[in-house]
Amino acid sequence: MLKLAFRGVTRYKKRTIITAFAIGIAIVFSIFMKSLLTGVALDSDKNLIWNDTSSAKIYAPGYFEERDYYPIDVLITEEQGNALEQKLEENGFTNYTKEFVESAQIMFYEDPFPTSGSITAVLKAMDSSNTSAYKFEDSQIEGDWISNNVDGVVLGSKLSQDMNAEVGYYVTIQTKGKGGFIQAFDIPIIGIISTGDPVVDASTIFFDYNTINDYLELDGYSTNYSVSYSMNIAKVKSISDSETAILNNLIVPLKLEAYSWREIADDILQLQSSKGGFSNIFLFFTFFIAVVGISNTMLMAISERKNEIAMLKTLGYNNKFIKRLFTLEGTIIGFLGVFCGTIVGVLISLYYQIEGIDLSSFVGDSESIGYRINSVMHAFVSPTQVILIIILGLFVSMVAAYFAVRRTGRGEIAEMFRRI
Amino acid sequence: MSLIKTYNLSKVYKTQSEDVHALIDISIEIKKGELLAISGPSGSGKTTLLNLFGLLDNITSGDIELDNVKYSTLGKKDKTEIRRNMVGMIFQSYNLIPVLSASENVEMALNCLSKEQLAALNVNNKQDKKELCYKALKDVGLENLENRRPNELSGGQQQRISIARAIVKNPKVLLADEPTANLDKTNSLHILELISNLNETKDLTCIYSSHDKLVLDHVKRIIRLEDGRLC
Ligand SMILES: Nc1ncnc2c1ncn2[C@@H]1O[C@H](COP(=O)(O)OP(=O)(O)OP(=O)(O)O)[C@@H](O)[C@H]1O
Ligand SMILES: [Mg+2]
Repeated sequence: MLKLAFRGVTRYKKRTIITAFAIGIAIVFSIFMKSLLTGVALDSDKNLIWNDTSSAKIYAPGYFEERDYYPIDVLITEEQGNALEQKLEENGFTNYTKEFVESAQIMFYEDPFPTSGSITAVLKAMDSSNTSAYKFEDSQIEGDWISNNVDGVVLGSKLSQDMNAEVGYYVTIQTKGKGGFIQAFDIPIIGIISTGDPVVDASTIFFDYNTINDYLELDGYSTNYSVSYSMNIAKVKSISDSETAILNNLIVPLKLEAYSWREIADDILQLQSSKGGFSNIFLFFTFFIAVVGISNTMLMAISERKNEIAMLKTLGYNNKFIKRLFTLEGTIIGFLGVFCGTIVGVLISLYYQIEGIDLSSFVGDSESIGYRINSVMHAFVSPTQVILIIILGLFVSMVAAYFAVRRTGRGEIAEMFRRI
Repeated sequence: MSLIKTYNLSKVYKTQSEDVHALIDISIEIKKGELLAISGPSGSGKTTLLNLFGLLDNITSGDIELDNVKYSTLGKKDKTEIRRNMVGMIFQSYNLIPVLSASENVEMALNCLSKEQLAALNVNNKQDKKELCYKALKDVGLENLENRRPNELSGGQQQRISIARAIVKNPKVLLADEPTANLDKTNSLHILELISNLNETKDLTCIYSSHDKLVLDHVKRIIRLEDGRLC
């Protein structure tokens, strides 16, 4: 029977190729869509963790709840900060960054700027000697990055575009210092950073902590410490809850509290999962179309052979044999299709994993779909997902072939011969 | 000795618009070793009758007896069994399996037989099976073409493969539904003489359905149908 099934596959070349091709296309699309959406979600998390939240943040009590308003009255004191740094070092949390974050107005004036104006931004001052909670290495920086005691601001790229800013121009920054007093100072733009995270690039202005400490008379106070558990996103995702619990235990005596990136970015993640419904529906439709496509081509391929099936019955083959034979044949064809489709699908996805795909014309602003990525999407090929799609593809081919032969071989033999 | 008997056999096709009475009250007897034709104008029920003999369609009322077995008593399995080793069928459109060679097509008729059934044909191993198929092909004049595929053969040659396939299992009866309708006169004569020959040498009962004069000239008895009735 196996021999006969292989005959059918190898001798009906054209039909085999057409059927396998259709199945292959379905697999290619499934793998590509799944990889793209996985890549987008991963990039989004990566941007968030590498450039914004880090793995966790440590705040003084009360800050977390009010964090959207950048409170100035619940800060970490210098002594607390020093004790915290020591604790972190002792316990292996060596990748941390001391920060002061506050909302700020950037004001800029005609000449050298083309127009005058002001923009609200997030001022983020980091201890330049230890920014290891973040990973700005992938970012493109025009000019210089922040460094210890260097007087200057680094603007997010989108923000600088909105202002038509260039490195070397001066801007006036107005913000609140310790105690809530409004402070303003003029400062040169020393760099423009493009992190790839649309939110950071559009809203953040970076400073060296010591510079800001002087301007705002912070006396070494900070709003928070950011801590990174790892730069591997998958790892961070799996360990962040347990590590944050450990961290929290450590810092109880210091009267500080730690929150994981998930808690900090709660609103964004929630938006994602509601908009994520969109990508799930998208994926569902891709799979649905793939399944319908496979079933349909299989049905067509098999019902075309109703005369053969009828003749086998006339010769005295029973239904069981016929079902097995054609299901086997369909599965072999399905295997061919899935095999080729997987190779092509993975290659295409890998290409877009490396090169990225600019979908800005399709999607418009990527923030509108809830993800923290710019318009260039990178696929991500996950072996587990690919294997799952392979198994699913084979299974669907087999089931589709089974039902196709069952349907084709139904009824009286004479009826089958007559059917067109 | 009678091989096939029908008892008030009727067949009604239910269509959306009406019931078509394709066969009405047919009672006939066909003896072992007969060479006969069922004849009649188009639509008279010839194919329907052969299909009922060959268990390709269900009986509406009445019964058929083949070799003392009444079809009405048969379950699904028994019917498959009868198709398997009692009845050989050939059709106007050959119905060969296109991906298989001539000899493989013939072999398909043997591959569903049980060990005992094969033993009755003196087939005890693969080699025997091959030889039996070659012999059947030789009987129909196709020696040396065993490895060709149907689409590499003429219509007459294809029909001869289908005859070889039908007779290789040594059935009780050969049912031939307009076997020459797609063939020219020379090829038709070949086929008809071949079947006459089988009828004589192997005492094989052969039943044609045809309104072709050429066929009718080659048989010893004609059963005439008109509008589903004997006449
Ligand atoms: N599946 C069917 N449904 C409805 N009517 C049918 C069906 N098959 C056959 N018939 C009708 O039954 C009658 C007998 O058909 P049958 O095919 O047996 O005729 P026939 O004698 O073989 O004709 P021909 O010489 O054209 O082959 C015809 O009137 C035909 O229209
Ligand atoms: Mg007919």
